[in-house]
Order: sequence, then structure tokens, then C-alpha cells
Amino acid sequence: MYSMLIILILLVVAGWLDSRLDWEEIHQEKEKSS
Amino acid sequence: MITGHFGLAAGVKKIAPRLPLWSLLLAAFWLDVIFTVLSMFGLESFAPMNPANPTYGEVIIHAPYTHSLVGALLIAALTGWLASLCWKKEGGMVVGAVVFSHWILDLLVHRPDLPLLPGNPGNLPLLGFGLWEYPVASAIIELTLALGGAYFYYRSTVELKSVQRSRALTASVVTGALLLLLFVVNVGGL
Repeated sequence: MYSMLIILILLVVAGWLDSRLDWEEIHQEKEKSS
Repeated sequence: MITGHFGLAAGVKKIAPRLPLWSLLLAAFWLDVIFTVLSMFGLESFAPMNPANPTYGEVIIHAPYTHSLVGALLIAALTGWLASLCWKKEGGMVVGAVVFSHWILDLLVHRPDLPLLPGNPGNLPLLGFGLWEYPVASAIIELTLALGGAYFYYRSTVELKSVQRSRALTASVVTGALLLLLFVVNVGGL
């Protein structure tokens, strides 16, 4: 029960915090360095 | 194993930064999402070995469709194909692999309750290395996956600068803390 609640919070909160980051920039930097 | 699946998903951001974290987290848990739906219809189920005192890893799962080897491969392939419509072929392949990673980690910890074929026709031998028989070892592996995943997630953001840098740190710490909380709740049987 508590596990399911934490999983839901993880998906929503961590997903939202992740969406605020510029992953396209990270991808471009990664492409340049490889 | 619950936390380990999510830890692995967070760590995958290191190799696939353009995939949103929620998609990887959901992919890692996707077999259990379908399992939950099928269990509502009585097609799959799970039961604690000692219902009076349910403890970490003391569970037998009857999941002949979602957690069969071929079933998991089919679900992973279908999910990967759907994901490729949003995140191109490369993204779809990563999502499909993360979906199937669930079965691999379950194979490690489950007692033999994972069938080869959906529905287990012919009563073929069930699979599972049974690491849950050694809960301390199982918990250590799960904790390592959770903390390792949060670490690799953080490491995937090292190119970011200024405001983005502090946001990345916040996202990593919150993700790590939630994974740790999930681990404690899961292992503590809460």
C-alpha cells in the first residue's frame, strides 16, 4: 500500500523534476564528445 | 524486488538522456502494471508465504502471462515499438530493454515461479534463482541498484551549468531519497 503511494510520488515528482532539465543540451554535449 | 527495478531505470538516463525519467521508471515497472490489471480479473495473483507475518521476499507469485519469459519478451517488444513512435528507434529499443530488465532482475530473486511460456503449457519447469531465500544479500543488491541508479542519474547531468546544475542536484537528491524510502518501506514490510 505504502509502496504503491511512494511509486506514484516517484513517478510524478521525479518525473517533473527531470522534465525541468535541459536533456537536449546533455545529449548534444554527449554527441560532441563521442 | 521493487526498488531495484526503479534504481536501474534511473541509471539508464546515463546512456539515454533524451528519454524522460518517468518513461524509464514506468518501463521498469510495466510488467507489474499489467500484472496488477490481470490480477483484478483473477488471471494472475501473488500470495505471501506466511500471511500472518508477511516479510520481505516471502512471496510466491502466480504470473503465468506477464512474468513468463516469452510473455515478458513480447510485452517488451510491443512497448518498445510503441515508445519508438515517440522517441525514435533508439529510444524504443532502450524502453523495450528496460521493460525486459524487470524479468531478468525477477529471475535473480524469485523462487522458481517464472514460466518459460505464457500460461505454462505442458507444465514446463519454472525459473527463478531464489535469491530471496537470502534476504540480506537480496536487500544489499537492491540497495546497490537504488543508490547506484541515483548516482548514475546525477552523473548524467554533469554537462549542465548554472541554474540547471542546481536543478539537476535537486532532481538527483529527491530521486535518490524516494528510492531509499521505497527500499525501507519494501524491506520493512510496511
